[in-house]
Amino acid sequence: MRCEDVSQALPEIVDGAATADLALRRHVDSCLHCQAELAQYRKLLRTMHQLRTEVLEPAPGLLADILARVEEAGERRALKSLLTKRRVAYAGAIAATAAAGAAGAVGRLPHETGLEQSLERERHSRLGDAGPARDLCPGDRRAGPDRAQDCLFVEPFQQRWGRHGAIVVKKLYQCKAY
Amino acid sequence: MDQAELVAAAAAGDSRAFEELVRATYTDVYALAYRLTGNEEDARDVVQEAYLRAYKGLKRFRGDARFSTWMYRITANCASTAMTKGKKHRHEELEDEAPLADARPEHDPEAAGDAELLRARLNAALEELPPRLRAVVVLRDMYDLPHQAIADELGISEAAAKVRLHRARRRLRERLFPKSEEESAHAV
Repeated sequence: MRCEDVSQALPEIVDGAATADLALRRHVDSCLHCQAELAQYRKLLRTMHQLRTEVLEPAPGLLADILARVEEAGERRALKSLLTKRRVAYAGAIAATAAAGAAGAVGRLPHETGLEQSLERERHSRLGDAGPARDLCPGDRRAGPDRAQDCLFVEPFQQRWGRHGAIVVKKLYQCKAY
Repeated sequence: MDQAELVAAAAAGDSRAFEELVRATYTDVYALAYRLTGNEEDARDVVQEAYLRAYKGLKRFRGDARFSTWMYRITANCASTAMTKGKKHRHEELEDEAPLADARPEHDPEAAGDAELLRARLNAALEELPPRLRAVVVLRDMYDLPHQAIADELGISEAAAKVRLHRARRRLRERLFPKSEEESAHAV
């Protein structure tokens, strides 16, 4: 083995991460030049460890800056959490209102008898929408109760969150015949 | 409270506990950031970003390492990100194979036998290393992070981390212990 080969290998084996093979160890044992190089690497590593304990004092104000940024992030997180809770509460309130409205609306429709209400429920069930929670449908009013099944309520109940957290209620129903 | 208890309290939402953790570790984290970035301004940014990430990710900290070690990893990652964002780096332009050896014998710290001088020269040599070599050798030889952790935080393979470490150590040795003419002749 030549000194150049040992020199290539020394940076890897100096900290014990890689093991030196027998040929390399024998060469180092008998070569003063390579022993000196190994000693230099060991000294380098010792000095690196010593540098670890050196204190590099940051300029004043760093601690305050760190804490301010963390506090700001904490406030943002708290606000986000609060908004999320409010959204859930609003959504619950909207759903409850819609359900109550649905129950009331059935009773308010003047042209719907018990039979018509059954037909209406069946129709909405077939269409897969949320039921007759709506204002009086103009299509129904024009066509009369016997045309009720031609009146298709195609848009289901929708609610969306606006960009700033406000609830935007889109159309409840849209009648094709209107 | 010890560090593990502070971490648990901070993860549960105790902001005072997190503040205590910051107070206990920020000078050490700053030292690492400074060594990685090579300048104070970038180091301050990196430290702030690192604590912000730690605060947001505290619940993911498993506690199988010390908090300070976890902070070193985050700091290394932040510094790496900052460097790849194209911030100014004084020594980025240095070629990998550029000779750094100082051939002036009067500056040989070994001959002077002065440990303090050796540390000062090592600091200077570290600053002269390209950032990607410096990061690996600092994290490995100064902060004892494993190769895999270094590779993960710097976004490189473990093999690449080892190659960089090898190069960095060679450069530092050449810088600290310049070869005499006799030794140079022996090498040839």
